[in-house]
Amino acid sequence: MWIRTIALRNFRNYDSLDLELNPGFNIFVGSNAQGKTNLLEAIYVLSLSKSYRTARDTELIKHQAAQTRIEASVQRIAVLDLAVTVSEYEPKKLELNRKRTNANSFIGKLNTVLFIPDSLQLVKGSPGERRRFLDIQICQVDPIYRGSLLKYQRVVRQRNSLLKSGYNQRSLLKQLPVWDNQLVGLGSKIVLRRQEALTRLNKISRSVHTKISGGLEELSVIYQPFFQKGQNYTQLSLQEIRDIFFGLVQEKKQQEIRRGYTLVGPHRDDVAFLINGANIKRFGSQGQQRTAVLSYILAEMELMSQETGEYPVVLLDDVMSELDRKRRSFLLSVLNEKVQTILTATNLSGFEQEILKTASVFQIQSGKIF
Amino acid sequence: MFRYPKPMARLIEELTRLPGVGPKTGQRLAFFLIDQSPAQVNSFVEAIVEAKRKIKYCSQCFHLTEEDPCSICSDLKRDKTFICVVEQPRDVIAMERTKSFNGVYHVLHGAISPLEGIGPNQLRIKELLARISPDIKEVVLATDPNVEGEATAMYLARLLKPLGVKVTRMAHGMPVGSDLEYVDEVTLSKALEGRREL
Repeated sequence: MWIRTIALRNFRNYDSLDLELNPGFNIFVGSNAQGKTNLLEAIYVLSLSKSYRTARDTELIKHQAAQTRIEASVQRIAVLDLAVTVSEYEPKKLELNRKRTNANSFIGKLNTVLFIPDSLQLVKGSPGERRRFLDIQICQVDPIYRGSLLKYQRVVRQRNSLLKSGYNQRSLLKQLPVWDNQLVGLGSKIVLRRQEALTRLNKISRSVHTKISGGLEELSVIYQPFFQKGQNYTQLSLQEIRDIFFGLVQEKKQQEIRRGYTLVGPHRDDVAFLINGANIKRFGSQGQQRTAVLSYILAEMELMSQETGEYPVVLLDDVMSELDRKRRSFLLSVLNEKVQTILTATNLSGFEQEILKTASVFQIQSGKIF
Repeated sequence: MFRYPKPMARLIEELTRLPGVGPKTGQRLAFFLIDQSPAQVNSFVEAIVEAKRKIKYCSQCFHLTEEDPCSICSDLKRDKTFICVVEQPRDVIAMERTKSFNGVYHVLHGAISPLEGIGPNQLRIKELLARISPDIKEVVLATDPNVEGEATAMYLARLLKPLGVKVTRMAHGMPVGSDLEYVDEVTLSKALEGRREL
């Protein structure tokens, strides 16, 4: 899939912008603080209905404006028109082909993979960061997963609240079983889906990484569900996951009551990145971590194309300065002719002539394109 | 800085307490009311006062009513052995609109939600249990299909089943009159889970 046109109104530092994009490389060049990242953010909002930079939608509105609107035409088998309107006074509006729709039908229409300097958190950051990466990717291709995840998170919050008040009011704990039931039911489905996604991601990222590292390194991306941490992961059936989960809920109940929150469930999952068997969160060099993230993100792109039959749009924010020449040309050659890539850079020096010949280059200055 | 005259400010504040009404809408409604004739405003105020004075909860099903018991509970043609449990009075209205339910209701006035401090004791659950007798043939749990509604249904099922009464849950499924291809994935997968043998 690729974005044919994009239009911004009062978005961040943009008054008004209308652009036609290239199905291949689109390079946005400019100094810092001119609006390069804002443009990628706008595309991301069209993809997932919210930003990765802020939880407050109204921050997207240009200073002193009352509302912002982002529109795009996306070429899939047919052309889809997507639009998001965020206003100070009204709830956010999502539109698909000019008809209002909900997030569940909106997300997944424009699939994206994002690679920004901060993506290094995938390896270096907390388990929560890794779960977020994984969830964003699965949600884009699987609306049922998104539904289960939202419900699951609500169940955990309700259950935590119950555990907290149950410490002083024991009689309340009689309600726990009805929450346990939903916790295990929804949580097991989440584990099963994550297990499936990571098994495939592991395979693909391993082969990508072997190519980038010239065969010197073997990358493993191993699912670490809350009940099983270790270097080897054995695939489980939904019933097996349920049984283990249910057993742990019973086992940890007293501890949960003392601590006042839910200790077992996929909200405590993690993913381990190993190179030649060593966990690179602790033992990896900065360069190894960066390469592992790159391999993972390219694997994400392949997996999404396997699941939807179309490559997602790849958004790269200022990554050219992050990668050395070898990795840079590997990345660009993988993306070339396969996917629409939208990337930002402070200058064009990192791009080979061959790429620049077919790419569209846009100069950005203070929210305007030249 | 401009301030509203006191009575106007008070009116806006009262209106803003209504659900779904923010400061902007509150102002708009207040300006609208001020523009009305005294007769119109009086009629509006009387309607509120009268509704508040006359409307009470039915002592059997806790639906809104003017007479106690309500028109559904006192209807001789309704099947008193079949109870449909809902969260809100407006759910009764929705069920009644279908014209296909001939039993009686029980309104819980909410769903279990620890985050909002709502437990079984805040709901009309004791009153429901008091209605269960050997004559009751079936209780259908029609709480909302969200996390809180499911928890409430499960809680009730655990209380009701030991009493020997048949307990059922509303099916989640396909909207009638729609083609399979236009149903969203979540609904479709729920409908598949809840399939039945023909």
